[in-house]
Amino acid sequence: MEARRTKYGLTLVAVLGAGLALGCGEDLLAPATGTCPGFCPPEQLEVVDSILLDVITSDSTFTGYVLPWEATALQTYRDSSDAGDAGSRAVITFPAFSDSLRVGGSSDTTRGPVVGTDSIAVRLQVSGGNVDATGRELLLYRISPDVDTAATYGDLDLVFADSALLATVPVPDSVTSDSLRVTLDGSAFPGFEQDGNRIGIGVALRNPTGYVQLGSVEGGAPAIITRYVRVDSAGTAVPRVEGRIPDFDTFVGTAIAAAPATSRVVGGVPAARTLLRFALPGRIADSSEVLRATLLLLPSEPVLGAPNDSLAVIAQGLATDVGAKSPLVGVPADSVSLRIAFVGVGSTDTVRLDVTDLVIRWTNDSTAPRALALRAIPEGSSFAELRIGAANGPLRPRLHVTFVPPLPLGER
Amino acid sequence: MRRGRARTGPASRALSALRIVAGGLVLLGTAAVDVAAQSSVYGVPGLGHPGRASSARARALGGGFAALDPASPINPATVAGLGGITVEMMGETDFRGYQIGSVDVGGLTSTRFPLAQLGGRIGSTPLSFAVSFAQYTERSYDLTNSDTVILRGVPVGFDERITSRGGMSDIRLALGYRAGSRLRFGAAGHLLTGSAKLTFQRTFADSTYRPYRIETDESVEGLGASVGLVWAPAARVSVGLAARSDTRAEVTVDSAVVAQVDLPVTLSAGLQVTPVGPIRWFTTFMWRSWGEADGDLTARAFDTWEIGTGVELGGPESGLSRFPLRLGYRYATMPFSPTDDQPFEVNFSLGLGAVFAGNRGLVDVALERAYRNGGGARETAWQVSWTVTVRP
Repeated sequence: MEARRTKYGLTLVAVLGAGLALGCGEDLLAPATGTCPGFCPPEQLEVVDSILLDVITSDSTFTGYVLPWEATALQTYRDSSDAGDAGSRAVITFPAFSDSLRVGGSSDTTRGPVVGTDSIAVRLQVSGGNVDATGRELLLYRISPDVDTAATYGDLDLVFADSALLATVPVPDSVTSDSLRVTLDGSAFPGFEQDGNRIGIGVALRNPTGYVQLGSVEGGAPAIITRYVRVDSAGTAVPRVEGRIPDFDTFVGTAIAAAPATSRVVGGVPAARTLLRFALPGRIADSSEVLRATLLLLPSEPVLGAPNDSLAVIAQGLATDVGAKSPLVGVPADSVSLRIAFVGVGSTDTVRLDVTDLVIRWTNDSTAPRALALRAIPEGSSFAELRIGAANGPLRPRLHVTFVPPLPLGER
Repeated sequence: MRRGRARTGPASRALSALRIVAGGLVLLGTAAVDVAAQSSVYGVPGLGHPGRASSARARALGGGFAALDPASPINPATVAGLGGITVEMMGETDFRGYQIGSVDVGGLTSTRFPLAQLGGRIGSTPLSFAVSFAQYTERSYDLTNSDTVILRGVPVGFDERITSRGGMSDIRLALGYRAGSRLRFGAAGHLLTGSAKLTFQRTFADSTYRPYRIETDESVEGLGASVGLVWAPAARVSVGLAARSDTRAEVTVDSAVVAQVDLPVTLSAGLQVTPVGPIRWFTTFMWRSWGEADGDLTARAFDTWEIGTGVELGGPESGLSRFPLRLGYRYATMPFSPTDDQPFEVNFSLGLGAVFAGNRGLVDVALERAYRNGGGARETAWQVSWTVTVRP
């Protein structure tokens, strides 16, 4: 009898357990549109939109992050307003070619002396330029292979003379990425032997309204020079080919007036960065949820640079704020497109950068430096330069924040 | 003789203890599950939709049995009517729809376990006890909303979803005393406790605005006490009276008290008349002073009253049928409204009961049709509830 009751009891407990397990489904989802506010909770989301004028406590501009010979592209341009007096030119030197080359196959180490040069081919990689330009031509000059980082535009002005012009290379319209090849006569470099078998070329752009970016060694798309020669093989001249990539490439431009003390600089050559340090109001930093934050940069003068060029400006957070050498925080993939603003040369429009994820990081992590760096992408490969108002001036940057103050859930 | 030894032997006591533990676990499990349900659109304003604390049998009788029902934790004197250890548990499923203005919503369902109790006589004394869990209020909802807001001078669309899962539970410890065959007294202490998980999320059509989401847990605490009596002035008549007073409920979010709401005084009176053996008629009247909370809430709060009545036909002891048939009707005003119009509820109910295993297992089932109206909304629901009672 006891066992039977136990059986009944356990059966009922099992039934209850099954009910607990199976009976918890629910479907409560219902539209509130049209039922509020009467049959909605009293909590109402308040969204505040505010432009913070004095949120930046200090700023600094540092230069020299990327030097012209470290750039991923070499910019050539001419400014029509100065009739060729202003502009930028690329300078490329190649390491010495050999006096002798192998005469046989890969397993034959026998070398023969180079007895003559038939031709020299130069391939230039175009990595950028304004697509709306027409009639662009690159002018190829013979220059000294001994040019170095100290050379300036003025120093080399005489070198880019008509007497040193090697070739004119048309740049097809609308081309922004292509390789251009020109073949020179074997006697194009009469000082070749005196220069220790080394070659230097200069590239200028003949076009009143455009610019062309040439690939560099650092950018992975260097100029390539190929020498077609004849090698003596037991009294017989056999053709051989020898190529070189630059051992030095840079570009030089006409000097730009230094920025006034009331301006901060982004971009240019050498590359400059501006660091901005923020003091968020406690209302936002401590208790609000940021929905969107936009940094507003007010140019203090028209954006400088090559005609029709543009500047990509990005705002990046600092891993730690140690001044000029502050390491930067990577940009989340989904924020890259928002964090970058493209600014045309000559523009005075306000530059808007979405810094939402940065500001959210500042509000969530009190140890994160509330600072960011403004820099160009890529750095140092363009003369385009943005000058903005300093933090203590009337054109100081602003922070446009859209946020939600604390929502008092649970109110009745 | 053998049964007597079995009841007093160590093995039997251990078995009974295990059963009590099992019953307690069922109670705890019930309490945990209950916080995920919704019973009415009227549960959005105020403290939520008040629970009924009535067993399936009482529900089938329109609530008319509630003030006299040992299985309904309303009148603590009814605890004195418990015999041996009794474990009961109730489940409920509803199918709802409502109309608010031009909004017509249907197909809402939920299942919950709003009532459970463990009780019995204390030894051979005239005292009995009961520990029960009941739904006090329930505030579960899942609402979506779409609208447009002007941000930075531009209209931006958004979708919003607001949810609450939880409510208040009434954990009661009651003692009943049998003062003879016609009079029973009882008193109980109530711990009102509850929690709710609240979420609020908004997604903007313009993805440059980050989605907003906040999730928090609120807790609600309060205390209460109740007293009651059951008196049988005649052989076929029983009367039950109960009074209960609850303190203020404190709503706490992140350790901060965000609301304090006066909880009501409750007065209940019930009557049972058995004109002939197979027919029993029950009526319960209840009044609650929810209006005291009016100043504490964004919504309006009103005193409520309700009356329920029902007839039970047959049953094992009647000799007429083994399965009693129950019919009931209930009218109740509801405490919370977004307007000055106090909502009300009408229920029509019927139910059956069944006894198994020599009166040691009972199952009661009730089917109710509920109509709610007022405050700008109308709601209808089918509610199926069941109570399983085990007397080990």
